[in-house]
Amino acid sequence: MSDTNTNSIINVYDLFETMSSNEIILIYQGLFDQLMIKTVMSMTEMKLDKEQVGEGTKKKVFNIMIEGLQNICKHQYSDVAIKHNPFLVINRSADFYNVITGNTINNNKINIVKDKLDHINTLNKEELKEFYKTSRLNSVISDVGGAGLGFIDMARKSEHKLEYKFYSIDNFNSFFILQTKISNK
Amino acid sequence: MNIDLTKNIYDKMVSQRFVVSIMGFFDQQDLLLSLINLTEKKLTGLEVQDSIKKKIFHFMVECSQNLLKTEKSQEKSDNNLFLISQEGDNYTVYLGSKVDKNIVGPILETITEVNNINSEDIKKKYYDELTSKEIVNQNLILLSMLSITKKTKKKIEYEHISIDDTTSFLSFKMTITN
Amino acid sequence: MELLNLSIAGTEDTPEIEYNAQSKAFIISGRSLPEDVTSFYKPVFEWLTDFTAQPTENTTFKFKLEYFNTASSKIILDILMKLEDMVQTNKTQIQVEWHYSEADDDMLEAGEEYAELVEVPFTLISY
Repeated sequence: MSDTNTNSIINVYDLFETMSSNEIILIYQGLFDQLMIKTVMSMTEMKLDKEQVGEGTKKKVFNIMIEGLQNICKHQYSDVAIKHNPFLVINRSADFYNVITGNTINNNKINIVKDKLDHINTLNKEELKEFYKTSRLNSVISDVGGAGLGFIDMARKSEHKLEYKFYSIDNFNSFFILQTKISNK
Repeated sequence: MNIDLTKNIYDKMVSQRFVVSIMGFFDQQDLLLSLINLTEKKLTGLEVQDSIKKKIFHFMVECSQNLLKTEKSQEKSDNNLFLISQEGDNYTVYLGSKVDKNIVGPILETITEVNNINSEDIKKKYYDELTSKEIVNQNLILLSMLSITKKTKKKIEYEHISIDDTTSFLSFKMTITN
Repeated sequence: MELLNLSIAGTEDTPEIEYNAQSKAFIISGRSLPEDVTSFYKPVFEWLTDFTAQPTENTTFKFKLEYFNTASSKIILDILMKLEDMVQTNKTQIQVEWHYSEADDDMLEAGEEYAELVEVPFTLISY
């Protein structure tokens, strides 16, 4: 049953339905600033508290969110990002929480990011620790490199493989989605 | 959840020209305030006039505080939704929430009542209601809707979808032109 | 007994409220959109009760609000009606000043409405 005095709201329920059926805890699409980061963090916290998630899991979700959001913030003011806002989704499946971020990326940086993620995904826990240490020593502040340590950190906290995909926007830009799993213990 | 599904949700938002979309749990007052601040920043960036910004705040505050109010005691935290879309000079704000079915009836009746009042009579009706001794803190629905209509000079647009025997999805929409 | 000064600090969703016996001015400024207006304004009504019992001469009540929600609009009317009672029973002289931003037509209109609803010396002042 639907009851409405306007036609165009229908899409809104469609989004709401998608959210509910996929156990999505939070979706944010828009520009991020300190205030918004605080807001999405506290929205997530309230929700996780209600679900009585363990402190350890909660902390991991938070740390991974922060890393992901810092990464997003670096890229959000490029020309292409104006039309493709950054995106954050937190969802729950039976055994996991997923932190998913999306942002635009310049096509010429895709390979660097992809290689980094693929390499990280081949490493076990000990190797990740070592790689983190050496990367920290060797790290130089560069536009892409900045995210490098963040990815390793996310992989270490997640204890799962990082999942990602690039979607082409135009000849120069793509949309990069990164999904990090956290076991719900 | 697979990544393609995430992308699909994102594409839906972008294709509907949502410049801000937020869905999650935010019936708390401090989160409403964050949203208002965020909206203010976003609208300032888009060079929306102050008077229009205030009309949008009013709509947001009244919808959250009076029209989409859910029982605080509810065990399950439900998702709320807040969206702003832009098409040329038109900005549309949507607020939606899952609500107890028993509050929907009176709200829809009040909308019909308010939407049937001639625009010239809205002011008078608002006065009558403002000065009426009957209003208690919990029951500001009529006054709230009258004040929205008075400020925006538009009919209240809504959508109601029945989810099950006890819950509904209720959303409000307001379009303003800069 | 000396009438106590009133001082409530403003927050993101509640106004700053001040009464200073020396300057004979009551000032409410900022935003008013608390979730529970009744409990927020309780100290103001308690103060008003004390003030009614022993009003200072010639007091100015300044309203300089940026924004208020519907529930607050009702409370503002209640405050103004208390002032009207005082004026009508010749308890003391009172002036109401309604300050509004030049660009804010809604706030001007709200002031005009209140001025019509209560019989108190009422001045609209733009800033």
